[in-house]
Amino acid sequence: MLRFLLFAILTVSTFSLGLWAYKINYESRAANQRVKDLEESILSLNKELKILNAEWAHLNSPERLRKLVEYYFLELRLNPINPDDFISFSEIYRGQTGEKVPTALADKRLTGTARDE
Amino acid sequence: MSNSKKPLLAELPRTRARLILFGLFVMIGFSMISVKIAFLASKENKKNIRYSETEKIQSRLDISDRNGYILATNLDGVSVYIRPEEIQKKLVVAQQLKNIFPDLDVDVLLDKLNDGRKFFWLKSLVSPKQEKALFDLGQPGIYFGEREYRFYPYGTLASHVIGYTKVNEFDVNYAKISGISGVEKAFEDELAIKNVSQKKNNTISLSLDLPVQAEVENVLKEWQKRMGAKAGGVVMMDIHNGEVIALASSPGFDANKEKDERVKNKDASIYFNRVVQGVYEMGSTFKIFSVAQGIEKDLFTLDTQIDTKSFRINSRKIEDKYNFNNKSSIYEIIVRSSNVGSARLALMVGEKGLKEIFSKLGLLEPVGLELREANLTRPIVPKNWRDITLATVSYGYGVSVSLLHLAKAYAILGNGGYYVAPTILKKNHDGNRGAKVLKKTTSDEILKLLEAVVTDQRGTARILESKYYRIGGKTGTAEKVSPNKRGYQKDKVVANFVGLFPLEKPRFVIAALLDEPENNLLKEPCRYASCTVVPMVKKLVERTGPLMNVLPESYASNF
Repeated sequence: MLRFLLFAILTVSTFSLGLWAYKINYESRAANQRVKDLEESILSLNKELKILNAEWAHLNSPERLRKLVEYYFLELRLNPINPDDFISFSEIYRGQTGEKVPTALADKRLTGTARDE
Repeated sequence: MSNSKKPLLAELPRTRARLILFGLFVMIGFSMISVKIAFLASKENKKNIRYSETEKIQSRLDISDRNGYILATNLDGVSVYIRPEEIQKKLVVAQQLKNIFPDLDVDVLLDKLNDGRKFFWLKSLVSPKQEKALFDLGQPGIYFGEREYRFYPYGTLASHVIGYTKVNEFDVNYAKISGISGVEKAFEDELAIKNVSQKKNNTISLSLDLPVQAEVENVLKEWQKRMGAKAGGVVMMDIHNGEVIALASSPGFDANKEKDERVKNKDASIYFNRVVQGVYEMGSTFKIFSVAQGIEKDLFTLDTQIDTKSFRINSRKIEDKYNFNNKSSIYEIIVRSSNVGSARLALMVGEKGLKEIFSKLGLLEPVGLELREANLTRPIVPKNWRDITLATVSYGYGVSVSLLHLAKAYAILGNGGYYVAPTILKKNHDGNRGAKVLKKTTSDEILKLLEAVVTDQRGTARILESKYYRIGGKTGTAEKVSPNKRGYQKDKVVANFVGLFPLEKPRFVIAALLDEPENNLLKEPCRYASCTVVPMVKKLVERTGPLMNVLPESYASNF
């Protein structure tokens, strides 16, 4: 009886320890896989970010903006910044913007051609 | 129970032996598991290391301007290589490839496919569209390799500062890029850093200000065309910490097209940095140096009267273009730019004095900018300083310096007399000032003179007078040495201008140069700096001033 009990306990504990080691092993493998996946996705996101940054830089290139400003001049009337554009605090009136109204208004469609005017 | 246990174990040696044996098995089992765990753990670690290593080989840091706009970055590209033995219908494939890449030669391609080689590169970099077309062919034997390439989003902008790169090592899974000129070359070690992830900041920030640089290049290009000039250069620098805000040299190049362009276009002059590499005799912009030395040593004041009758030294006649009175004040000599007066001043200051001021202002050594082009450019200085040399050097003939040298010298004259070394890197804090090389009073007097050149009715740069900004500066027009090195050409000049602004509290030096300009928009053609470079500088200052938050004089007091 005792012999059987001892045997049973040993068997059960061996199996459960084995199971535990097995589980840990699998968990650690899974964790490693996740780290690998995450590293990979970080890498690809970084690359994507780089491309987006480069594209953003390209889209904002002064040469390109200059052409766009010329093209949309009738709607936007953008001019290079000028020392006249600085105004002192006393010159800021509320609600009244005077002559320098931006012509790029929300309800106007920006078609880039002169025929709208 | 406990009574019967002991005798049982003691009496049954076989059972005991079994138990020990069983225990042994269990132990062996556990140790095997632990060994396996340790093994797995170490193996997984190695895998992770390999992942970061693939990134190591290819990366190169970005270059950005002072605001963080990206000037140069690395992007993923695809290269194409071919293993001919895997291709069956070689003629068909060659024709298909020709359709995708029209620049390929079918005969050459067929030779390569048939001569028994195992491997060859088709293209080192293909566009995504071409990649898809190749992929859609579905042909075996065509392989894609990963590589990075350098991309300059702004094309020609600041190309001389950024420089360009070439690929000098190349394999199916990477390409090693290294710098050839400009910042790409000068900071090669920092840019090609091995482990990117360890460095928090993956960019090198330059001192350039992109909007200012763009405006400067735009204006320079326009004026170069308008004045029919062969070339031109402009540099803007912070006079206190030496940060170069804009540096433009025209004609320029597009570093993205670098590789093909170079084969087709043999003209190397587009790579030449006129501001840093080009040394020129600068003419009258040098006159201020002997005056500065004289004031520094208390030899004279601005009101001292100097003989301005033409005279001879070593049988060479020194004379002026315009008529001066027999005696003129130093103020008048600078404002109206008298060669005779300047020669007289140089003789008063002497060889030692002139050399002293030149070395204090850094005109006898490389300019100190980090670029390799700058380190290799030495000013050309006469060997023997005879009296005639002193006289001509004082009005800018006989010594050749770069435009950046001139900007640096004026920066020291204008910032209260502190030495500055130009830098292309953004400085995070103002840092320590350079050594004091001139008195504050000298600097103040020089600023007064420079402003007078612009504001005085007789000044050579009076068209520069702006309703917005107080600017001061000096014009210089130097005839170019004739091709046979004997004498000067009357009709070919280098016109330049160096100025400081805003004069209430000088912050920036601007130096501009046009090579062989001619203003034909006036009644008669004019080549002097006053009618070629000066109008350009006025436009530059009024355009870039607001971008750098320089308040117009009329508002400055309100804020």
